[in-house]
Amino acid sequence: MNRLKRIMYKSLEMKLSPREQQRLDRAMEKSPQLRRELFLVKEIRSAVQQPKNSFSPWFETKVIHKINTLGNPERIGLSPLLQTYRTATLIGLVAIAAVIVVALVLNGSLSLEATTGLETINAENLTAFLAFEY
Amino acid sequence: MLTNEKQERGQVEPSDLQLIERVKEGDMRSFEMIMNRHKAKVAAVIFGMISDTDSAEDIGQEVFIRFFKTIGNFKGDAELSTYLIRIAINLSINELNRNRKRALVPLEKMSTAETAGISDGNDSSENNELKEVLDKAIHLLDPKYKKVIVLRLVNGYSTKETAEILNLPMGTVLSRLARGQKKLQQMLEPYVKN
Repeated sequence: MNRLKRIMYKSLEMKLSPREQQRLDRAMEKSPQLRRELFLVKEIRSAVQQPKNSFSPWFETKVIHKINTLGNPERIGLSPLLQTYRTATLIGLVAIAAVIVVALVLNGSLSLEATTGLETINAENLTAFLAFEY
Repeated sequence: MLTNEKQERGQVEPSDLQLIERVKEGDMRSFEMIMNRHKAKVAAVIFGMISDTDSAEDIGQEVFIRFFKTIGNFKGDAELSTYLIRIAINLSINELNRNRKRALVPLEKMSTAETAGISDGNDSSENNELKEVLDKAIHLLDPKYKKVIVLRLVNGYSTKETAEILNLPMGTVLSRLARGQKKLQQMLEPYVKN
């Protein structure tokens, strides 16, 4: 692109210096081709239009849903495995907490017997238990 | 209007940075507010770059998902809208590169009705046809010219704003703008009446 063309396109974006303007005016007077090019470019600029399109309704809801589906490792800061089984982990933790509370309330102790409801088990007791109780 | 009412009631809209801090604390309502505030600008850029509506919607969603995932990286050095538009342009260009063959429908293959041309009259059907041809011509541009044309001419950002969004010197933006317009003018020339 030659210097004159550059000045012509520049004139569409900003005010030219008096010297540039004078040079462009003189060239425009002489060249019908340059006048046509400027006319066309001006037509193009005025015909270019902002697309009327916008995102579909519930755009935000869809994005939030996708984010929730993907998870957010940065914010939660848990390992992927723990995140995957988050619900199961939470249920397990609640169950353990419940057992501890019940053991404390009923027995006032957190010993193995108190929390599991079994007396100390050894091999002899276990055999007897299985043989006579079942 | 709504903003004025809120201001009258003494409620001030939280800034983007305030909303981002809330999002970091897990407040998804604030993230919804960010999307609501910026989705129109993001949509305008993507629809300017991509003609396929379904892809444009997907890219729009991806812009905000990416932003959410990397929200910790946003330091507020640039306006949030500028940051989001940069993501939108990059993702749009990726999409264009993926579908380059499909996108390159030569202008010559358009029907004569589509290429009726420019006249000095005010015939609105001819103007609509010109707009349609022009839209297709823009989509044929090389992405480096296309993003400047879309931001400056289609979306109406100033050359300075365009330079800031694209992180380019003003001179480069002016040069690409001139070359892009020259290419459009050359593509449309055969269809223009004397």
